[in-house]
Amino acid sequence: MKIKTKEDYIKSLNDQKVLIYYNGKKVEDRTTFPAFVPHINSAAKTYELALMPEHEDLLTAKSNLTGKKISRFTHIHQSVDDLIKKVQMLRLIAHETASCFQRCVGFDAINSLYMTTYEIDEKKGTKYFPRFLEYLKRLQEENFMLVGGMTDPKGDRSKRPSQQADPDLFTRVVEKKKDGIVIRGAKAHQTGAVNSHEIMIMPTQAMGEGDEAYAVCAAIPLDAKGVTLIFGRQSNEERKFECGIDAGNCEFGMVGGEALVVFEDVFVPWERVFMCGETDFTGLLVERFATLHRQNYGGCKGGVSDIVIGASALAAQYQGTLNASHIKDKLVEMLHLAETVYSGSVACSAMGSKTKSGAYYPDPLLANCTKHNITRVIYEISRLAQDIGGGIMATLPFDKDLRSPEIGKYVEKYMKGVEGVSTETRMKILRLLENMTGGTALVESMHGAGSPQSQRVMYQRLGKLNEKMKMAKKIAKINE
Amino acid sequence: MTEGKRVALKYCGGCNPEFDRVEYYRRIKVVAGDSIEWVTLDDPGLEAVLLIMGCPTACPERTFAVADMNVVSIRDNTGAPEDIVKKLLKERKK
Repeated sequence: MKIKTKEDYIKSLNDQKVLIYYNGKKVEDRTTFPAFVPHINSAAKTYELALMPEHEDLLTAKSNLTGKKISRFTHIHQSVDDLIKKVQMLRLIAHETASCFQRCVGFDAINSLYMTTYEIDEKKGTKYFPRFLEYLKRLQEENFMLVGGMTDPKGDRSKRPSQQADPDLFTRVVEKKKDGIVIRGAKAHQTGAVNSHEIMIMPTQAMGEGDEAYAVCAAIPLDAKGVTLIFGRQSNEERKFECGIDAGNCEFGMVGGEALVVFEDVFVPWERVFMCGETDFTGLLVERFATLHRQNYGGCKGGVSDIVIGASALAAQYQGTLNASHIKDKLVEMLHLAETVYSGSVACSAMGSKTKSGAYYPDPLLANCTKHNITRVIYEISRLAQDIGGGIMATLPFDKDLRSPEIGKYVEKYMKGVEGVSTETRMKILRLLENMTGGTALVESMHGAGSPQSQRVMYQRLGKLNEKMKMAKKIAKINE
Repeated sequence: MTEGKRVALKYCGGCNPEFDRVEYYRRIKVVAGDSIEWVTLDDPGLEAVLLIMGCPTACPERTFAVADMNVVSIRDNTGAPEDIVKKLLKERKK
């Protein structure tokens, strides 16, 4: 592996000059820019934990291509055990960061492409799979960070890609050359993009006849000519620049640091193209990527919820309410919900199956169910956390007020809870709760890995309603 | 001075451990002293393996297999480190 340590990772980001804009200005050094540092720290945990003997069983795997020990984030699932370990790994890292560590998206992109390029070649006689394997070997060897680029801006949702008034609202091939293709368009909400090395673009939805230019998968270095990143503003974004208590989780931030990635006529050589015009495989690829990504959410959000639960209990302890029966009951409910979402991720993994390529794939119905629960359960966990924490988490004075020579004594005196716990400690835990239970963090639970409706569509397709009607008829002894 | 028995240490991944696995290993290591030379699973001449699992699920036990080897697996921290060292030093029954 070329990138092994956090230091290797940061150096590699430094070595690659990517065009990034933040709040209207170009970012000169992405590795030291305060708004990006928490996301870098979070992603770096995936490298750091892989080097620890007590975590390597989850963070590393044996490559099916080379037999070498690799980062699990570059691994192709070879068994149900691998699928379960993925979920366990996500929960573990969430315990370390209380935030998004971003690498699962690229992880899911490579697994969905591995399965799908194999089947495209089988049907059409193309050579995408061996081409993809060469790319994958390099990814496994170098251990760079890959963005999974699926979501297009989509413009008018009632129209297909080729029917849009502006054809660039879905990422497309604008020119095919002898040595490669030219890409134009954009990918929205790209998790970890500002601190990644490459992006794997994939179609955002099933494509039909006439949409051939939009049926494209390709790996693009983020420093390629024509690529521009525009960072998405988060809730309380400016607090990251203070790097104090008010940021809530100063070291690891909140969600994945999403960005709009724009492609202005970007050339991609053929060896980096893994689908080009095969509209009949776009639906399958999207479904597989979505299933693999939805599988994750009980792992990472379950782990993040563990921190919210711990912080809620501490907030209660610091204000003397931990032993109140209603607080205990709320904490129990939060524990129940966190383990429920984790169960979903484990279940869809345990019921996984082998695809034609040999790679393993989670049960799609259960994976969709897992993510659909996240769109509700994380809101309920957050509601209970805010209930327990109290209004103070939204009305606390500034960190600088606490440190002010003039008014610090008032903050110290009137924001204090129980004896033996400093006001600063109490403020730290309340700000952490505020950071984790509102704004961008919640929206990510709703729409990350697909909005709730996209999961409900899958229920209609995979839920076997007709079979259920037949079963009911049989029990009711209905013969007509 | 005699060489210690070559024992490999392997932890589970630690997704949600019920005790501090690293701390527990430190206690075992102190008790073992020179009687055990700690190595990795990739090292040659292994004589025994200590598996430290964070919970009763013991994931690595599902797939872990070392032929002709004394494997001691721990799923909690209730055992005395002295007893674990004794088990590791015990000769495997042929």
